[in-house]
Amino acid sequence: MSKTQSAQQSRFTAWAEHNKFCLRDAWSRQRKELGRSIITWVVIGFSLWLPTVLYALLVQLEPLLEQSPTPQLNVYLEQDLTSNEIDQITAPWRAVPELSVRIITPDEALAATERQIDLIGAMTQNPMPYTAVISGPSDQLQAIAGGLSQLDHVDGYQLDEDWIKRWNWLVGLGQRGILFISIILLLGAIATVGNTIGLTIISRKHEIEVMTLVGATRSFIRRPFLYYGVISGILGALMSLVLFLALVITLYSPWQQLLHSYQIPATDLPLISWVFAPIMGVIIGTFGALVACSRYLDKD
Amino acid sequence: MIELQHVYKRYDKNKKDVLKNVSFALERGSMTFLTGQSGAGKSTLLKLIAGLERPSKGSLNVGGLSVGELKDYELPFYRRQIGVVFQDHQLIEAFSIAENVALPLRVSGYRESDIQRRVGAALASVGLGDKVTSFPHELSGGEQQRVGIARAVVARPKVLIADEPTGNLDPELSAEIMDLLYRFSQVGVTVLIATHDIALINQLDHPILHLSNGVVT
Repeated sequence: MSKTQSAQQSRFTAWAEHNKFCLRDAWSRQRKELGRSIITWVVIGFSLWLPTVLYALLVQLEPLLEQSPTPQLNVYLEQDLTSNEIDQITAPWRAVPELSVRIITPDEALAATERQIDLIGAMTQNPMPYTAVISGPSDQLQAIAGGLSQLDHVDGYQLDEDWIKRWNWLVGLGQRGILFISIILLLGAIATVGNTIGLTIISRKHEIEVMTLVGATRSFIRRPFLYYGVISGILGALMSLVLFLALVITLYSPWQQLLHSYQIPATDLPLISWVFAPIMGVIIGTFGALVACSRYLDKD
Repeated sequence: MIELQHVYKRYDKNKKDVLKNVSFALERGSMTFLTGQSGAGKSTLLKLIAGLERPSKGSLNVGGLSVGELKDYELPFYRRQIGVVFQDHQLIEAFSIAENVALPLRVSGYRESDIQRRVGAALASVGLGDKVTSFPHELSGGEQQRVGIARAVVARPKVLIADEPTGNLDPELSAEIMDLLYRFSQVGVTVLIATHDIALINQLDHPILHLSNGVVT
């Protein structure tokens, strides 16, 4: 027994030796089953590439999305008010830091409207009221609108927030849609890796039985398949990065010109666009391998 | 070295016992034959000793270890002390002969230099020192069986069990394999061989255990 122990290495060295062996074995399996491996890499690559592209697109369009106007309350005041009276009415609103208040005089309102409707020129007097345009958070504007009926000199009001809500919903819908598509694609990739490794396990069933017979532990048997999954994930991620880089190089210049034409400032791609694929590739490969091992190995 | 006391084995609660009240003891360095008809329980008995199954009842002691009481995570380490030879060799086709023989050593975490040395010695001891780089399909049935024996003994097990090791071989090769197994018993390995080959058993002077319907007679 002592001779046997002396021939055996320390636990760590034996572990390291076996990991090296598993890595070589996993890599040689990738090459031996090249057709199956390439399909797996392509599936992982595409599953990582599309979310990366959609995310990059979202980052590029972020300045545009951030330009969405804030809700607005137009309060129509009586036409014959003096400046002092208008100041008195609007003073409580001006005191709130989150709100901005702007007064449009009847003359300014008429001038703005005249540019759009020629018929106004035929009118004998200006029908436009004084308008206090208040911008700020939706809940505060709703509170002000609720109290307007009790104020003197107010003819009416218009709270303009519905289309802004729709815009925000639309943006949220787009972001969630991208998240949903990404999750579905990543789950699909995990299933593909799991299936590929499952087939490998089935084809190596005899080998696994022999290993069990000569005293292989559960982790010894699982390890080559985990490495297989991680290598598949890394190669799939590499494929995704190459495709993404090709897309960036091809479209960068015309895309920048398009953004410029809409006065949207150009944004650099964040680091996450480049590290997302490698990190997720390793996660997909590991999870796929774990799923396959628990399904095909641990049941025995 | 191997001691069974009132061992029973039943695979399914609703089925009958495959082994019934089996008791015997084998000394260190002995070579024993296990005979019996198909379905008598020979393979089950070997699986119990190999640590691939556990007794349903009774005590099985191998080299001072009570096999039935071992925890699941301890069983692989126990199996490393048992060498197993099969009728159908159970060699891995994708591995070279050297890699097949090296498997028990890799599993046990031996150094690469020790693996090379021990594999060379094991293959030489079965007369296949020149077949290191060959693959199983390139060898004859007798050679494949000798590779199976080399793999079973390469980690210097305390016990060597063989399930019909000469089942597919002609009489001359069968005698050669038996002689090889006997030589291992001479260096202290306890050898238990399950076989149908009565003619071969009669040629050799070793103890015989006969199993009939799960009972040792």
